[in-house]
Amino acid sequence: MAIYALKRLLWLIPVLLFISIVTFGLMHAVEGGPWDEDRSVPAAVTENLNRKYGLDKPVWRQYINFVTNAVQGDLGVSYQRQDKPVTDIILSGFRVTAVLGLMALLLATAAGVSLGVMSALNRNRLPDYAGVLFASLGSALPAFVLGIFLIYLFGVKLQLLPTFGWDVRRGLIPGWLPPIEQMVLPVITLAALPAAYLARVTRASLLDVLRQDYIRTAHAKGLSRTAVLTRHSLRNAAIPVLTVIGPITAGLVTGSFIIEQLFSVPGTGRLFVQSVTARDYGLIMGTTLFYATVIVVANLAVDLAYAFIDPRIRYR
Amino acid sequence: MSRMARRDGGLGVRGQKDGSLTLTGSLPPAHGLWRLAWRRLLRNRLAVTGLGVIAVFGLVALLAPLIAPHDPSAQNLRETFEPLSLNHLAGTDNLGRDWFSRLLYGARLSIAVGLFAQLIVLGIGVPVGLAAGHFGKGIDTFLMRTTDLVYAFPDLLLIILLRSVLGGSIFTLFLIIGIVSWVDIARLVRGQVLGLKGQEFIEAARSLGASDRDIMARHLFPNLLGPLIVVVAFGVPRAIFIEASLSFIGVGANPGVPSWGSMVQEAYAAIFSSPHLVIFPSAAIALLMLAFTFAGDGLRDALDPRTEVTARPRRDIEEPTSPALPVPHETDTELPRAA
Amino acid sequence: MTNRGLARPRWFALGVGLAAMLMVFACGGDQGASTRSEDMAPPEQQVLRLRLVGEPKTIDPHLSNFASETTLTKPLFTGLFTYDENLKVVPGIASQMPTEENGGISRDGLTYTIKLEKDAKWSDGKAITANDFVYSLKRALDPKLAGPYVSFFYGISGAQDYNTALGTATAPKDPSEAELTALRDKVGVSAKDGNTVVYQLTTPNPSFLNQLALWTAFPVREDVVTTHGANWTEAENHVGNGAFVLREWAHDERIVFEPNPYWHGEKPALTRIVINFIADDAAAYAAYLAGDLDQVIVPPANRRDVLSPGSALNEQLVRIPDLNTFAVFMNNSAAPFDNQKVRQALGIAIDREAYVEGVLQGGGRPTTSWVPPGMPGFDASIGSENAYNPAKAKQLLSDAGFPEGRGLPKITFVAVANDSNRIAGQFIEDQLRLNLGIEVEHEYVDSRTRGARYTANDYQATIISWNADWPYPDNWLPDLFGSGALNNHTAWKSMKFDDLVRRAAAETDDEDRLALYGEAHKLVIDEAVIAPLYNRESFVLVKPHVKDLVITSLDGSIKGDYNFHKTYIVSH
Repeated sequence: MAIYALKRLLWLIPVLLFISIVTFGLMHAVEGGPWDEDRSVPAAVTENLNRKYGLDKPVWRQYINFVTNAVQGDLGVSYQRQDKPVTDIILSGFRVTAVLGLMALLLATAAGVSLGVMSALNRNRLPDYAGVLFASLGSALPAFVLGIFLIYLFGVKLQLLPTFGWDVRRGLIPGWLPPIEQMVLPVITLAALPAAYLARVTRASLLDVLRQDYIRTAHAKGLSRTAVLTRHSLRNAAIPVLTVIGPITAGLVTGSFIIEQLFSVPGTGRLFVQSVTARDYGLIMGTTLFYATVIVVANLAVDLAYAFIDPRIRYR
Repeated sequence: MSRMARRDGGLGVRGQKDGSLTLTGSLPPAHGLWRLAWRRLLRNRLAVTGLGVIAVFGLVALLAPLIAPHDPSAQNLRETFEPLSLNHLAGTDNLGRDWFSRLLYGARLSIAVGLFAQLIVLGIGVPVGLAAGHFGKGIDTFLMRTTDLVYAFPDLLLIILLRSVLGGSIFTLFLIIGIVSWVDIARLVRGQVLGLKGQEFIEAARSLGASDRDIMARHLFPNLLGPLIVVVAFGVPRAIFIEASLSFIGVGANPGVPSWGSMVQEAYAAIFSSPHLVIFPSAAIALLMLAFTFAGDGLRDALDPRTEVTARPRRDIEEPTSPALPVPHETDTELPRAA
Repeated sequence: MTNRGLARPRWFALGVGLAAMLMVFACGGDQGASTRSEDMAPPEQQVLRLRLVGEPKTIDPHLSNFASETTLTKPLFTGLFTYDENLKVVPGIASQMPTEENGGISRDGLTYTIKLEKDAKWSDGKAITANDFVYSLKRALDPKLAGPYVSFFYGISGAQDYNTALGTATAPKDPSEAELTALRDKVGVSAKDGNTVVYQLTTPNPSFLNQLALWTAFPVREDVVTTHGANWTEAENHVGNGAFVLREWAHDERIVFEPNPYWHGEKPALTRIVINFIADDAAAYAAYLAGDLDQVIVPPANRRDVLSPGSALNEQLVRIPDLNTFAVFMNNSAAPFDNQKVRQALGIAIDREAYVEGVLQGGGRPTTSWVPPGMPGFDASIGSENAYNPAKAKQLLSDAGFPEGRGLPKITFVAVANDSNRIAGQFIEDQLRLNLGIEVEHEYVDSRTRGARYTANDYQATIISWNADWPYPDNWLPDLFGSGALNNHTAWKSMKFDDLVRRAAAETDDEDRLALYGEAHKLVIDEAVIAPLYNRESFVLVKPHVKDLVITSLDGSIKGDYNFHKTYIVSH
């Protein structure tokens, strides 16, 4: 297993190399450079800027410089953020994004699983329909519509919650968690979709288990309904649910442009869009490679976790 | 796309991770089976309703020019942001265009995005998955490593970059959604093929001298239809949803041809003064999503051979059932990502 | 930036002359800081909560160029000169306005001798000296700092040579450090004594004092910049000389200002200014409605809400005509816009009033001229013959050789992909279809791509929004329409225009100079080089408890940025 994990991690190297080449090529293929604006600056000023950031060299040379620096842990600076090191920007943003993502994951799991169980146990009765409807709506409303609706309802109309912000300095856990009232809306908006999805998976999985022979046997043995449910059904139904939680986690911690944009959360989700539109080359490369790493590692973790959950799987 | 879709967009193909898409028993192509599936489908009221809604929306899309009360792009700057009225059933937008007519026309692009993106997804994903699963060895390794590479790419970044390089036409949008979504299908198809390969009817065909192409086209592919239909049923609304999210980010379809996604985005700025402009297209997207979801669920149940024809959904617990949860097909070095 | 002839200037008259024409928008009653109302809230409530669209690229005044950056530099720094509420140039750190009479401006208009306020201090208590201004200008011009907005100062002797020392992409140069230092030393700025700074120009410049009021001319502290490098703008390192100091900069979240205890002016009443970074317009609007912000700009789609008379929001509404014009810029060097009649037809075929009323909800002023109202040189009669007239437009197109648009090459507008441009684009397509019978298309790209194409003359038509750096037409005409001028991307050339603006720059009498600029302006419009559409008006909501928020037409993204020291909060 350890060797398998190591092999997968080594695989990361060609993956990152490939992705860096493609991204580097694409971003330089996009029309317009970082200094192109409606208002012209003299050619000499553009040259000053290019020199400052090493953009006066041929693209292949820039790529080699990038890789050389990157392997030493230097991803360059962001032109759009006070020349700050890209790594600093990503790491500080990732802390926010990851915390927000994990909070949403907790909520989504709790809400989704209980809804799914409720639906399955009351199949084709009112609670089931209600659950299915809720789950469907949660997945059918675009996040920005749901988000602005929540802001309007809880922020403007009811005046219960703040309309923006994610201030970790005066939060529950300083440096990590913002005040609870700032968390409510973004976490709910972010959790809506995975919650709906988990509810559907849980329901399907539990229904499937409930059809199995051993459950009928358990019933036949005279075990109580509760005992059958807790000891046999839920445990078995959990396997597929756990396997989808993995990718959901990976998705949540990579951040959401929409949620961060809407609730002014200082995470990494917005960096992609911002960096590409600004041709902030360093930040584009940095975020891409960082997330590629996160995705590969997260998938490895999912696969390993899957082997723990399901003993029928072995890796070589 | 799927990672973004899970957050901002619709259901993932990897949603079928509960394994229910992975057929376990042998499934020789037989017309009777399709008939049975159809009968099972018709018995599922939600699925039938879903299919009905899809049919109605499809009709609306086709007949939009006949039923729209106004020209959807006719502007009237003296009647901007009108509330609902008999003349303007859903009010007017910032250019005084009839929102109801735009909704009807919007069905066209929205459904087109869903369908065409799926065509591209299938067009890339199925051949890659078939080839990888069928030929195995070097080809499999090569193709699967390629999908790994694409998979590791952050979707949103790829979308924005491609959008910037390729431009903003509607076709580009189909293509982009397709390009970032095919990986899941390829993995799914490969997993299915690996499962089917060992089956007797494939062995039989091979021993009778069938070529690789024959086996893939005549024996493997038909057996994939069931799962693929289900995947498409979930993929269509997902693409519609992605389109809406891309509109919000500012890289969606260009104006002129309305889509529900771009309509939500256009009206979003006016959400406080004219909320109905947001509510109608959002509701249309939600309804179509629901319809596809129910239809997809129904299709999955109907095409799952474990579901007994005689089964009465109301009494699950008493139903006779088939073997336990599916086992992933290959456990060699790598699980299918969707496992 | 363009050549200006030699003459005897009386530039100082300029500011006075135009002061009366400019508009002021002070919210909530009394003008002037000395008349602060009696129900002033206690210090802990003297907090102004504002919104900025996102993390600024920088707050280093020498590196800033966008309105979202410059707006933050104004409370933190004071230049030698600044603007009062009437957009009149007034002394900032300078002790008085330099004139020929007081020896501040030499007779040839080439030497400016400026005395500093004696007790002016930095926010850490150190005195501000002439050397600070000498260092700051040289730093701003340093090619290795690569400031984007310094070419205004190329009129100072040696400035251009130093800033362009590295050459261009096609003709790069590699000067040694010694050569660079030599060029740096030749820049025409010096400290006559600890308290007097002298600028040496190569040509007289009617707007030089305006330019000294620009953020690029703000002073920064050499030891702070040297010690902390790029990090000098962080809250813990920052030293400025404005009415406020940087207390906190939580990146991607917010910026907090507090009063500068050493500021030489009247002590601000506000104890904190909190500037939150909120990217989404609708979310910011909601934040204002919820009471989480004290000021917000109303997006066009929500203007209807704030316009209904007597409503609470309507009473909080402040409307500011910006020093801004939106116009269709056309590539005059390529078909079909090389044909003056086609250009004119396009302008006449667009119903600007309908757009301003219907789409902008009245938030603007339809215009057929380029220089906006509120600026000297504004003349509403210019271009009045180009008012909306479909029949005339059709006739012009036909006269141009394209009856009913037949034979007209395909026209594609390039536009930045955002909500308002998409609406404007669809409007223009519709107008030209209805009124000229031609089909035009739009290509929506991001701002970098648009910028690249526009500045490379690789476009047919695009809508440009031009904002004033300072309120004078020399910022609006020579640089945009002069032959070969830096910002001339219509590729229009006119010897007559060049001659007019050259004479204007050399003219000493303000009235005569404005008349020459007026002629040049008229020439641009007569030849339909561009098709002006409207002057933007901003709709700003301000909470009733905010008093004396003095908003001018030159303010950046945050309204009131020049004058926060006058603002205060009443009990609420």
